[in-house]
Amino acid sequence: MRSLWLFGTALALASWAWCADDRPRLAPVPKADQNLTTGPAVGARIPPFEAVDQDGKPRTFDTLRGPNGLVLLFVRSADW
Amino acid sequence: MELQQQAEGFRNEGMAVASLSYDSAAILKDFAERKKIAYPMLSDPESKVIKAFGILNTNIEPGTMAYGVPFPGMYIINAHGVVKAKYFEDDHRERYTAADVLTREFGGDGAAKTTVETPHLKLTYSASDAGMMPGARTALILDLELTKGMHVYAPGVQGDYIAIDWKMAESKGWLAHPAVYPPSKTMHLKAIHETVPVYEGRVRLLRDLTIGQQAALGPLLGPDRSLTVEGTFRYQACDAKECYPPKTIPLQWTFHIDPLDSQRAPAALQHKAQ
Repeated sequence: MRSLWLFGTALALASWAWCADDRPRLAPVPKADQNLTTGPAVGARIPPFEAVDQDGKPRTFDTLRGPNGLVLLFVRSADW
Repeated sequence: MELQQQAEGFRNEGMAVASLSYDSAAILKDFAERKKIAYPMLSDPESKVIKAFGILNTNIEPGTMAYGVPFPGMYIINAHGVVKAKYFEDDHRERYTAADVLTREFGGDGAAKTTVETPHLKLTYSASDAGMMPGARTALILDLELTKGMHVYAPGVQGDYIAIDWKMAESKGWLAHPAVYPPSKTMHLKAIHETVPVYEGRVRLLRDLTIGQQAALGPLLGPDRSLTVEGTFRYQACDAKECYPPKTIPLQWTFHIDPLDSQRAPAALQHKAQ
């Protein structure tokens, strides 16, 4: 009975490990990308923010958005 | 840059577009002028917004030039400021294209369509992008239009029925993600008292394709940096009277692969290690 329980636990762990990284990949995740965080969850509200645009004009979500919302792209850099 | 090309598609859906990075407004101004970008590019030089969103890349040492960058990604935010969807890759060299997101979120049409007709169906296939950089993640689109009275079987069908099957060739130069099949209808076959999952009428299948890095792509690129990606679509069609022999339709997409952009801002504006 105990060995059956152990087997079941091992199987559950194995399938969890498989699920955790079941995505096929082209290459291993680079070190610079580990501990990925993706911010507000789907269904959650974004934090209020203000930032200047390329013309130095201050912008907020409300001055940026269209009638149905905003596509907001976070990029690493426009320099390098 | 690619977002600029898709900005109109998003605007047609009532969505404005903007980007944000840790660059100075001067760097962004220079970039926007060079690349002819009209949408707002937000400057967050102290990474305040990036930190407020909780997406600061914590792998980078403070004091180095790259400190302050976010994990790159895209949010689709509704008019009330609520996240409707988000697209992040766990490898920064890989990115969802804006056209992929547009297709997935709003059902946009693909570029460069190919149509194949058989007595049972019309198959039109395309991709959300025609040209991409290495690491881009694009949407492959298969639109089926079944001839009136015809049906095909959905994945998961039991017994001897042959479900539709979309296969992609494997390669070191790309990665085909699993196909997304829409919900099927249930058909009751009276004569044999069986219910089976089927598709009729119009059906759209989607699957993402991630383009590999330059080193893996090099040997696969044709003249003019073209990349050919192949697959097959197999189905068995039936009508009320009979089932027809299974058919396999070859699929072929050709993409233009742009080299990675390595041009920096003018030296005076560039990021420096602090």
